[in-house]
Amino acid sequence: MNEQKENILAQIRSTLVDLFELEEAEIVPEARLYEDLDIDSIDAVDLLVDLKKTISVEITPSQFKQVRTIQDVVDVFAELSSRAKA
Amino acid sequence: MKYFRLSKLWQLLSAAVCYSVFAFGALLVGLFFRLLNPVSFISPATKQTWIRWCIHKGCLSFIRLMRLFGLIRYSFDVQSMHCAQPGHIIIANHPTLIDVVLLLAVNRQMCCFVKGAVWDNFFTGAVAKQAGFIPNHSEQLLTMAAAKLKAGENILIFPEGTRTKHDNTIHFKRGAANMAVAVNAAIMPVLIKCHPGALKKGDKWYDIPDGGPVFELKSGQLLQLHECIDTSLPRPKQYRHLTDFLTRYYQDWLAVETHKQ
Repeated sequence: MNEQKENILAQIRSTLVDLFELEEAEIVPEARLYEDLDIDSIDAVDLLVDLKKTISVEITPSQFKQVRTIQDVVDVFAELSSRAKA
Repeated sequence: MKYFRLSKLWQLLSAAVCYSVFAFGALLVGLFFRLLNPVSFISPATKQTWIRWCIHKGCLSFIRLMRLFGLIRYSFDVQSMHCAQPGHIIIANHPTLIDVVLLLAVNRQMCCFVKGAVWDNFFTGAVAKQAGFIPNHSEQLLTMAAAKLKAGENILIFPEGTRTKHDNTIHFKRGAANMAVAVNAAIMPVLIKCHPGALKKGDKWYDIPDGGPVFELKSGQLLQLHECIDTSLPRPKQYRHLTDFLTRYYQDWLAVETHKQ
C-alpha cells in the first residue's frame, strides 16, 4: 500500500470511528462493510458524503455500490483522486 | 383421553375453516379490486380508502371468527394510538404470525410494507398497490414512506424484521430508526403479548394451546424523536442511538408486563 492509500485509509478509519462508533481495531482493509462492520446502504450514503468532504473526488452512489470491503473503498478513492490529478 | 382427542380434532377443524375463510375472503377482495384497477373515474385516493377499509374489516372479522371458535382470545388497550397525532410510525414487537392481522384489525387506515413476492403477484399486487402499501425491496422506499408520513398516514413497521425468536429476546434492526430519523417522525410503540406462546417462528399454524392463546395489544405514549435521542448528532449516530433506545424501551416494557402476569 502506498502513501496515498495509507492516507485514505486513515481518513476512512477516523470517519468510521467518529460517525459509526466502531472500534479502530475493527477497521482493517479486509473488513467487509455490511457483514463485518454492520454498515447498511443508508449508512453508505452518509459515509460517502462525509468522505467527499475531505477527499475531493467525483464519485457517484452507483460507483460506491460496488464496494464490499474497506480495501475496495480505498481503491476506488485512490483511483479517482489520481485520475482527477492527471 | 377420548375427549381430549375430540377437542383437538375440533380445534384443528375450526382452525382449518378459519384460515380457509380468510383465504377465500382475501381472494374475493383481491378479485374485486383487481377488476376495479382499470376503472379510471374512481380516484386512486378513494380506492385506497376503500381497500384499506376492506382489509381492516376483513382482519377484524377474521379475529372475531377465531375467537368465536375458541382458537384465540384477545384484549386491546390501544386508546393512545387512536388519539395520537397522525403521521407517525407504528412499531411493534413481533411474537406471532397474526400480529399484522391484529394491528390491521385495530387501525382503519394504516400503511404497511409488503414483500416483493406479494407486490409482483398478479392478484395481491393489485391490492397492495391500490392500498398504497410500500414494497420493501424498492430503492425509493424511504422517499415513499416520507411522503406518506408527511401526508398524515401512519406506517407500520416491525423493527425486528422477522418474528421474535423463541427465547423472547428483542433485537431491533435499524430500518425503523432510519425511517424515523430521515423524516423526523414520531413513533407509536405497541406491545404485543401472547401467552401461552403460539404461532411463533417455526410453530405450526394448527398447533394451538387449549382454550386458545391470549393476545394483548397495548399502545404506549407517542415518542417524539428529540425525547429519545440527541437530534443534533450526525445521522448515522442517531440511527444507532434510536435503535438502542427502542430496544431498551421494549426490553423494559416486556419485563414490566411479564412481571404483572
